[in-house]
Amino acid sequence: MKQSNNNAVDLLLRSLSRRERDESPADERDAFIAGRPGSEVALEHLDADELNLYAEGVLPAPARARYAEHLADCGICRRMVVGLAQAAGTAVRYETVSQQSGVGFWQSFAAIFSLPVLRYALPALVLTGVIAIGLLALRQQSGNEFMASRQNVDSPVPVNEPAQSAPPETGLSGTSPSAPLDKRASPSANTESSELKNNSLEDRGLLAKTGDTITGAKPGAAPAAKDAQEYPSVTGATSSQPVYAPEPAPPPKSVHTEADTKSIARKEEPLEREAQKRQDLGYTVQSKDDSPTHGPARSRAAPSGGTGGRRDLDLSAENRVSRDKVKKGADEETETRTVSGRRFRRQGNAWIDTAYESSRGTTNVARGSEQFRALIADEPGLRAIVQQLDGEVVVVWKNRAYRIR
Amino acid sequence: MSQKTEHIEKAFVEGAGRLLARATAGRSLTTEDLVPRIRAAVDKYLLRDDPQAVRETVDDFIDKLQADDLCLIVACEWGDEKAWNDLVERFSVTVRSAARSASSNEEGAEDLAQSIWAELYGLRVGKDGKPAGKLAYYSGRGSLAGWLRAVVAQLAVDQHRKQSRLVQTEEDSDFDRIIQQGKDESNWSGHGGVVDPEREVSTKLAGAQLQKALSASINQLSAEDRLLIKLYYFEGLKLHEAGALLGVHEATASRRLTRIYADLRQCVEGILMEQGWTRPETKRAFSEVALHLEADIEPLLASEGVLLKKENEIAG
Repeated sequence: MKQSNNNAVDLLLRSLSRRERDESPADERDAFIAGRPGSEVALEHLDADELNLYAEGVLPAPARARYAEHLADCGICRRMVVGLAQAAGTAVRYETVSQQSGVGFWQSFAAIFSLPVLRYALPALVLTGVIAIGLLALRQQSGNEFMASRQNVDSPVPVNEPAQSAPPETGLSGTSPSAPLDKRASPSANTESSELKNNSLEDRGLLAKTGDTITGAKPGAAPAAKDAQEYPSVTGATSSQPVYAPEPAPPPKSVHTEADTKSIARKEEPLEREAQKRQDLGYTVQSKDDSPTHGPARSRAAPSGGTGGRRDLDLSAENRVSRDKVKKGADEETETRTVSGRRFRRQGNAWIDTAYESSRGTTNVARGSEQFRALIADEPGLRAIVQQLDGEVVVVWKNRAYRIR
Repeated sequence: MSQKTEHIEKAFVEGAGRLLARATAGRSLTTEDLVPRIRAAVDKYLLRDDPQAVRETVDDFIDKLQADDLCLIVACEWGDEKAWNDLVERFSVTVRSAARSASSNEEGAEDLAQSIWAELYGLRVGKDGKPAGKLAYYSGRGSLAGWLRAVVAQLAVDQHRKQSRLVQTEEDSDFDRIIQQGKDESNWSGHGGVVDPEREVSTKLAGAQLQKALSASINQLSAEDRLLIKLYYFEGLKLHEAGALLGVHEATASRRLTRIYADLRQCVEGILMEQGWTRPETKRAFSEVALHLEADIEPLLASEGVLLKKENEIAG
């Protein structure tokens, strides 16, 4: 509504201006020249200086208001002022351009620091400074956090108890590891986990007494760093435990690497499937030892702990060496052992395969049981491990975890 | 002489001294040569409107005078030939350009320019030996180039008046005939269709009354508002040009214009209601006349815009 009102007035004004322009302009000029009597406008026409000063805008305010009153009514003077203003504007623009082209370097440099420029530049600079300081502070903070996390990595940290989050264990005759959790099995898992915990606590106590470090004294053993992560920290002596730098990487192994292990595991998959098939069909695996036709190649009974174990004639040189080492250091507490290319860490009375994960399903096998005999009969490699390690052994074999005790 | 007058006189003398110090070319002038010119300028532009102006205001006014231009003109007034040569050399281009803008052809422009120099040169010294003529009107407050352009414009108007009084050319008579024809045609309202003559007459009458009321309303505006309307609608200036002439920003000029529309409408409605119109009638008159005018004006506005643009390019 307001806009339409303004439009109506605008149109009326345009019409009025057209009409006045069409009416005799000569009369106005005559009045200007002759000074028509009674015409105030004609008597008070602006002279050249007044016209020029108004057009250039250099008049004091009271004089300006006085001349504006005349110009509002006098078309002749008004048109002259308009023409002079337009000509002056053009001349000023021309002079400005020519002046700018002649401005020296120092003048232009000084112009950067002029007040109008600084008026806008200073807040921008302040804002930039604040942002830069904030970014630096954030980077510093993140750097400190990184350093703190690195220190935590280097220092001994509490091990994640494998049994705490372990799923329920299943037996050989039970369901497959991928089956849904068996609630009946969970108490046993919890019991085992608590036993392990107790064992670890005993270890801690022993360590505290002897003052041994958790990582042991073996240099050049990379898994020691891993062990340092996994073993529980000595609660009573955390503050006194020195923090060691991570040990350098071990030399390349001549025996089974993980890739080899995987390739072996892949090769042995068909055998595993066959064993699984037998289980499903309810076959009991007869130990080859029991077979009357079985030759004398395999011998029973591991030297320590294991009943029904056989001496494995295919022991590698490394195993002999490691066994010797174990024999030599039997009196001493050794935290890790390498058997058949696998590393086992001591956890209480148990030897835990370093490849074992607590989230993995575990199959319990008792030494001397039919299951045990069948297992080691089918898996000579596993038999060698079990014979090497006494007590409870948790070993990952062909992607399955076995707890043999 | 009162203390105030002495104080002001002292300001003139000291101001003249500062002006001479600022000038790059003093042209052998003294403070005594400049004091009368300074006094005249201060009286004309400052003390006339503010007789009680303080010393600082006077000093500020004097310090803003164009020192070099004023010294040049005063030297020319006193017959300094070198000053005259400098004046012609520096400002002949400006004068010629202004003359070209004021004249319709190149020959007329050349004549006009020569007339300017002759008039200025011939009026160096009056009969009494004192400076006289147009040179005395230059105060030094504005630029000399602008002053010369104003002198050329005024002289062009004088010359045109003289020429137009002597002879009415064939072109002018043809032009008058065309105008008259246009007026007659504007009375014809038919556009090929059936028109209600009574409605047409009443619309025209309403329009005429409206226009008259509008003229009266414009005269009731303040001088600045009236000048803005005249500059924008009657002189065809753009809003930023009109604002620059009034010393305000374009946005300020736009806001002022919007306010003026409301004031004019209110004033027109008041005048019409005094003449016996009712409010609904005035509102209807605005909308109807505006519609009628819009149909007439739009093509003209478009062509006027083109013409104005061409004129500006030529004046350029």
